[in-house]
Amino acid sequence: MNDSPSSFPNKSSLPHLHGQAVWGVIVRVLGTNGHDAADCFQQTFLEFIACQQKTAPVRSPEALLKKIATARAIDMVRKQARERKRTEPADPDAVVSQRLPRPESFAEAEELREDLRLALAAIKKDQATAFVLTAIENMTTEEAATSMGITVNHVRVLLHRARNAMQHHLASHAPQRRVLK
Amino acid sequence: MSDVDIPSERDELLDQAILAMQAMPVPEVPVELLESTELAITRPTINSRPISGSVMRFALAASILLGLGSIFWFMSSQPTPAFAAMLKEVEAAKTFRGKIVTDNDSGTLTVSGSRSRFVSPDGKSEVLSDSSQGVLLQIDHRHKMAYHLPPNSSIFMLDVVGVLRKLASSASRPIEDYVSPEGARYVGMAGQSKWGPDPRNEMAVDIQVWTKPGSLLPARMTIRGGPDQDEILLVDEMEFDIPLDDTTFDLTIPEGYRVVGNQELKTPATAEEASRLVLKPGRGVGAVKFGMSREEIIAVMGEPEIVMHGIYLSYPSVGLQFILAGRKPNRLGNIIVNPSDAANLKRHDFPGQTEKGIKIGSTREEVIDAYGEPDPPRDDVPRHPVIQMLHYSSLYVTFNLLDGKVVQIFMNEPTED
Repeated sequence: MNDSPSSFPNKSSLPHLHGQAVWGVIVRVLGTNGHDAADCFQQTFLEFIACQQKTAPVRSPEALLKKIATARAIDMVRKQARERKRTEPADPDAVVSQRLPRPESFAEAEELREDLRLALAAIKKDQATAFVLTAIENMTTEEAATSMGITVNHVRVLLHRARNAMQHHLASHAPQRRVLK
Repeated sequence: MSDVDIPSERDELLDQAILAMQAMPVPEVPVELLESTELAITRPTINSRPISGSVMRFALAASILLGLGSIFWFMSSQPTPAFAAMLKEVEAAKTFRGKIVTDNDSGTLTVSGSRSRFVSPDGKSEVLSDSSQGVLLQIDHRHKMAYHLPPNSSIFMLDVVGVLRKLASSASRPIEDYVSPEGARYVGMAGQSKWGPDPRNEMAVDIQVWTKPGSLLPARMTIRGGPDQDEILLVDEMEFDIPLDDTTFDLTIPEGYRVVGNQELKTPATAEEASRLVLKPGRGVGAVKFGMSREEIIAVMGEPEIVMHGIYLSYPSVGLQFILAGRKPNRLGNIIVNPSDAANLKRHDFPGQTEKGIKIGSTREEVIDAYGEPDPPRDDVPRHPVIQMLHYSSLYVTFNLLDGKVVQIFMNEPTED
């Protein structure tokens, strides 16, 4: 219910203490779409405050913030992917041809990132969250488990499935990568 | 199977993508975004996202608490016949209870005359109000904290009563009946109105109300962004004229709770003391400089009146808060003039001014005369619906204005020497 200015006296420190870490997660997962990233950023902190109302204080606010940021950013990526599907040409070759490799290494890296984002959008959300927290944000499986409120074994299962699903997704949706090699 | 679709190459492709994402350069989080987020989570009634999260929830709760005190839900000078009939019934009621549900949370609101109580489902948090005494009290049972909210909190509250008044002057249309999980059927009607967290930032909404068969009293109400939009909030299980006793609205704070917001302030600063509190953007205030340690700050300001979580040194008697979150650990990184967090629910306005004469109450024009045009608004930073922020990135200072006047000043440690 209410989340008065006073329920969490330390909350005004949160953006300053953890803002950059949260921003990093969001920008990596979401890309540099300013509006969506800013939206995710604010939602993350608001959701964190709401979570704090419902649960005991967390040992690592940053881990929970990263988990929330990851989930919100993945939501946004999925939404963007849905929107893209709706507006993209029906012929997949047409899409691929637009994304054929460019010589610049930056462009190549950005394409890899974009492929990874699309893969994250395509797999199950809890798998994607576990994957981002561990593979991208370098959390241990224990930290990821704590922030996600699940067991370590569950995280490992999610990661295994995430990797498999993403490998298949990348292989089947990024054929241009073969040309790069 | 394609040549890439073999395990080792698939692994390599994924690992390349992971490395690319890890290596992605991440810009610094925009200062304006940090500040607007800080405002959003510390000042729940002035949320920049009008329909999201706990901010709206509290504003909603409090606005209903304040507004329903007199049970004039649907007052209107020109009500439609349908809403007018409902209004008449509601006005005659002495007590009310209903469940408030938003996208993320819920609670039960109980009202009797000027007294209201809003309780979270787990009972761990509640807001009690008595408008006749000007009391607004929040109790956090989980952390054993009680907060006396300032009487003027309502200036930031959502005005749900106002929205419903507008609804009463809207044309009504029949909508599909609502059938409760128990199988009870309710007759619905809807109207269009405007609603938002602040009267200056309203949006068009569709309000749907259902009544019990044979009764004109509302039993359920929703507010949506439009007829086909998702529900923004729901008031469910509405009951009127239920028997209530005084213990429901007991304002006694349980023993052992830390009470915030009713501390005694020191006498306001004298003119001489105020004259020493000169704000120097990028440098500090008076003799307190960015980068100072706790001990150095205390040597200048004296012991903090309230310390929160180790890094917030608050001096509410002079409207100042120092945050030890600088570039170096435990060093002064932020100064908030007229802070609005828990430690400063009760405070005096900051009595000093900037070296260019800007103080609490200065106008926008005076700020611009002194510091020039602020940074242009950034597209990637959500606008605040109530607070106008004049941000000067080169000076590391932001002036927050309400109704055209400075109400708060943020100063940050420069990112480079």
